[in-house]
Amino acid sequence: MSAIGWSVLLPALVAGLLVAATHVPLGKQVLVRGIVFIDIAIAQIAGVGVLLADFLGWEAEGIAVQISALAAALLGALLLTWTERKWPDVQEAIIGVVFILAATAEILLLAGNPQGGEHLKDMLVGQILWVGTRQIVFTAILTAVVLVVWFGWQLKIGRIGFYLLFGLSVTASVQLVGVYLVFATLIIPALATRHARTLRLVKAYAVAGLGYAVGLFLSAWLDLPSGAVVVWALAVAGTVCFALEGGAVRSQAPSLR
Amino acid sequence: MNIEPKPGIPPSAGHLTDLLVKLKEQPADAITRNAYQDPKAVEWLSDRTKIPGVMLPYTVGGTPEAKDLFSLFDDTIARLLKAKKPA
Repeated sequence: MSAIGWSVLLPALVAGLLVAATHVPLGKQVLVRGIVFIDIAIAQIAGVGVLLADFLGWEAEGIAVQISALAAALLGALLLTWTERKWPDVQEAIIGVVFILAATAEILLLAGNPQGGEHLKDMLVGQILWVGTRQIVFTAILTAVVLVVWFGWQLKIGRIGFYLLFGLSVTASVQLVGVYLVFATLIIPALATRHARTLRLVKAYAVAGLGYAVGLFLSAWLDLPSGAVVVWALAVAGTVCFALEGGAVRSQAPSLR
Repeated sequence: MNIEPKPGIPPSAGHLTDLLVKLKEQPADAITRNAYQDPKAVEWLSDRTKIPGVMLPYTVGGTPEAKDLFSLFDDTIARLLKAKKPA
C-alpha cells in the first residue's frame, strides 16, 4: 500500500475505531434491554437535527449544526425514556413510529433543497472517507467523555443517563459514518459475542476493529464503496466470532475457552 | 476524471487513491462541481491536493449571476478564471 493509499484509509480507520469505542459497550446494553431499534430512531432524529439546521440556512458542519443535531437527539432520547416509563409494553412500537416520522421529516425538510438527494443518501450510507482532522479531534474528545462516564458511573446513570450518552454518541457518529454503519457497529459486535463467557467486551471490540480494518482495505483493493463493504466485513467478523464461541458453548470443554 | 465515477454510488478508497496519485503526477487547474452537488467531496480533494475547488452554475439559475444563456457562460468562465488566478 502506497503512502497516498494510507492517507486515504487512515483517517477513515481512526474515525471507525472512535465510533466503535463508544458503540460497542452501548450496543451490549441495547441488546440487554431489547431495544434494538432505538438506535436507528435516535440516529435518524439526529439526522433531522442536521437537516433542520441546513433548512434554516446555518453553515454546514458549523457549531450551530452540531447543537441542533445534539438537541434533536437528546429530545428524542428524553421522549423515548418517557414513553418507556409510561407505556413499557408498547415501547418497541413507539420506537418504530418515531423512526418513520424522523425518516419522513428528513424528506419533508429536503423537499426544496437542490442537494437534498445527496444529503439524504449521506445520512444513511455516510462517507467515512471524507472525514477530516477537525471531525476526528471533535469525535475523539466526545468519545473520551462518553467512555469515562460509561465505565466510571455505568450503574448510577440510570435510564436517562443511558439515553443521554447514547444520544451524544450517535449524534457524532451518524454524521461521521451514516445510519447503516452506526447500526452495524452497535448491534453486530454485541450480537456476535452474546454467548461469550469471558472477555466479552474485548472480543466485541476485536470484531468491530477487524470489521473496520478489513472492510476499508477490501474497499481499496476491490474498488467498492467503503461504508457498505465495512458493514459486510463487520457481519463476517461477527459470524466468525460467533461460530468460535458457539463451538466452545456446545462442547463445554474448558480447554477451548 | 470524476470523484464519483458511478453517479449515486459512493467512491471506493481504491478509486480515491488512484485519483490522488494521478493528480500528483499531473495536477489539474481546478476541481469543479455543479451547483446541485454536495461540496463535501470537493472540499476533501481540494484539501489534500491544494487544487482549488470551484462551484459552477451548470445551468441557467444555478447561481444568482447565471440569468440567461450568455450570463451562464460569463459566470462559468469568470469562476474558472478566479480559481486559476493565484490568490
